[in-house]
Amino acid sequence: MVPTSNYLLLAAALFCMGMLGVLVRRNALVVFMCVELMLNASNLTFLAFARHRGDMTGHISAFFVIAVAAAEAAIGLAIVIAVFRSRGTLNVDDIRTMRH
Amino acid sequence: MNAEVVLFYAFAVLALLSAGMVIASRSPINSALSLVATFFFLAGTYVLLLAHTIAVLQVLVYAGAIMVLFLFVIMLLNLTETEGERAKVTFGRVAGALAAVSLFALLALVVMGVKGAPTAMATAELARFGTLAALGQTLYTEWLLPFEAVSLLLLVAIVGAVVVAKARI
Amino acid sequence: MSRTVFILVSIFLVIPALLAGVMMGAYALGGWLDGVWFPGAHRLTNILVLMLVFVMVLASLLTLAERKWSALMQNRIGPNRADLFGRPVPAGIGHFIADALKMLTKEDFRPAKANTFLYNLGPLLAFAPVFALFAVVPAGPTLEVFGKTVDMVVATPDFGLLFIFAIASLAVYGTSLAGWSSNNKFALLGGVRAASQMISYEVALGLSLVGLMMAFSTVQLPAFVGEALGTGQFRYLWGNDAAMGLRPGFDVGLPAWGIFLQPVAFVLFFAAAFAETKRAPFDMPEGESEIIGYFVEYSGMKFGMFMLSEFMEIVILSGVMVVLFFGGYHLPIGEEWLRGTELMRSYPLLLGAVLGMVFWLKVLTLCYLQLVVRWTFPRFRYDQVQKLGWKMLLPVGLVNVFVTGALVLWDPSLRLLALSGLLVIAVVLALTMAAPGEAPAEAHGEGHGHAHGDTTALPPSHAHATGHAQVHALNAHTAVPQKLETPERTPVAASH
Repeated sequence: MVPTSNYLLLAAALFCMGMLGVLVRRNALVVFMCVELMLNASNLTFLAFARHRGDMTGHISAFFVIAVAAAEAAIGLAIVIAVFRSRGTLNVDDIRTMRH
Repeated sequence: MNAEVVLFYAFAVLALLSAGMVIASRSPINSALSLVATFFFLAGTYVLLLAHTIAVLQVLVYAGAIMVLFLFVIMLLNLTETEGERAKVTFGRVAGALAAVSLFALLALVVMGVKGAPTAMATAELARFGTLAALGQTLYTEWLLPFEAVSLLLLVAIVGAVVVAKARI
Repeated sequence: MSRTVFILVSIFLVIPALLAGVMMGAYALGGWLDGVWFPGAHRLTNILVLMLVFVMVLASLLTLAERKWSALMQNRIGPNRADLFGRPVPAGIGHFIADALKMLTKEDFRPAKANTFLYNLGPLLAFAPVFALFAVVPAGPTLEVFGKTVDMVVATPDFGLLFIFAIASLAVYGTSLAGWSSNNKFALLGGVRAASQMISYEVALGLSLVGLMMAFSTVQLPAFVGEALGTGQFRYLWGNDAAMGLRPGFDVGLPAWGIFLQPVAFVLFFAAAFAETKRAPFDMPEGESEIIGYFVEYSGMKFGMFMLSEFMEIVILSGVMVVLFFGGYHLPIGEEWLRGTELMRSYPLLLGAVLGMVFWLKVLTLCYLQLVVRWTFPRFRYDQVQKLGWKMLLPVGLVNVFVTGALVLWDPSLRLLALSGLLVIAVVLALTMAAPGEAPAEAHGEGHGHAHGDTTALPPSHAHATGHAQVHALNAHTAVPQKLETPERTPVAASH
């Protein structure tokens, strides 16, 4: 039997790796992928707690997270393509029209 | 050492390794493929948590649809090597790494407080836990309104994607 | 004459006997292994028999069948030159071996500056998911063999169809990575096309089966087929079976097959799954005549794996369609009688052989149908592929879901659903027959519009057509000589 805390540790580690990627990487697509990684880590937490408590509500949450991730990917990738078409770059440091 | 423990540590190590590859690879396509691998290993851990339906949905939606879209965008924009990815160490990067590490330390501290093994379940309950039927029943009775809201969200996302793709930004 | 006899004998005697024999062997092997090893070990022999023997052998034989069949349709003889040890082999079987040898011994070419790892990974990623797809398809009934319960399926997960969708959606990685890693602009185009096409058609693929899931209220493939009498597709909508209180010698009736309940879903699923196999008319990623496709830089067995996975997809798609729409391994009529006979009850192996043979014969028929489609229809243009997926299949699928849901709620015995299905089939047949001088249209109403567009180009004998099927059939026959005189009409005449 693997204790629940090990699953939660794995989820925490993955979440922090995703966060590291978001903060460190400059390519918008890779940043986006790291966000997906963070969402997945949260899913693992939900499922671990669902198993811990013997309650399937966590599965429902994970289901909704997956659905939201799909919606987010559709919009986000459309934005990425639009930005690349108008700017010619995906470097998040160079995309700064909204700054000031 | 039973099979569950072995499988868990194998999946955990592989998931962490491939997640590291996502951050570390220089070319976006390698990042994307590493992320697909991470999703598969995570699906493995989901199965260990008796959430095999979610595991299949993970493969179906994440690996089969979302990551294919990423791959499609990478190929469409022909992003070969990391464009303008400056490899120098900046203050922002160091701060980001420090923030991630300290967040992990904090989370680990909290998570270690969760004591004990998963609840033991009766055989009948165990046979139903995590099945598609059980998930569907809960979803369509208790969570019907959020479910409909999510379907609306997906509709909005489709419309939004079309609008963004057609507009000139 | 001897050629005809050869073909008839092989179709009606040799192939069924071979299939029945192998299936009987599979059951016997599974029962034996269960006895000597552990209960459930027959699943291992099922992997061996179903996935390696049946799917692989059928797929590789289909490569030859496709060459022969295309030759037949184009009035050629086809491959007939490969001899075995200096002796001519019938039906071009020698080419099957020659092709395999050629693929295995060709130079393994690798383009310069290609990403080696991904380039080598591509064929594997295209091949492996397809191979795994057949795991959930039941190919025979559950039987008592040597005192052990043996079924003819590799895995029965509770999410059944979701497994198929999940694994099928992974096949796109091999295709697009092959296109990407080849370091070739045309291959990249093919890869991008494959990714967008397969994502688009996955939506229609999933949506087309929702109605069927509602009708049978399950997603598990063995439950679709129906293990026990009166479940799944193993029952009659109207018939003289035990449920009607009658017990005749031989039971007949209209079986509750998916094709009668959901003909629209069948057409949608067939079209969407055909697009997933990336074969003509949906061969945009390959695009023989324009970009040569995602595997343009591959040679030898790596190319062979792409080709073989395509043919395996044909077999697996046929298997899935048989399970969902054509009653799986069940006979249309008389199975209850067959199971009740003394012979079958005392020798369950024999029953397994017969029903397994029925399953594989249905699969072969659908494989044949796919070859016909591939060599009959012209290719789509790229925008037409996307339009068909998003503007035709998806809305029709949505409407189908709503109509099916209403009918199933109204009449849970599915008879109302079957009536509407039969009505659709009748309308499609009528439209097809009423279309003068036109190849059978797709099963949606739009086929009619095409037919009208074409009548204007036909000889005047068609102008006074009254809409009667017989009249049209006559007209079509009398028109053939006229068509042959004008060279531009000959393709139409050939499609009759």
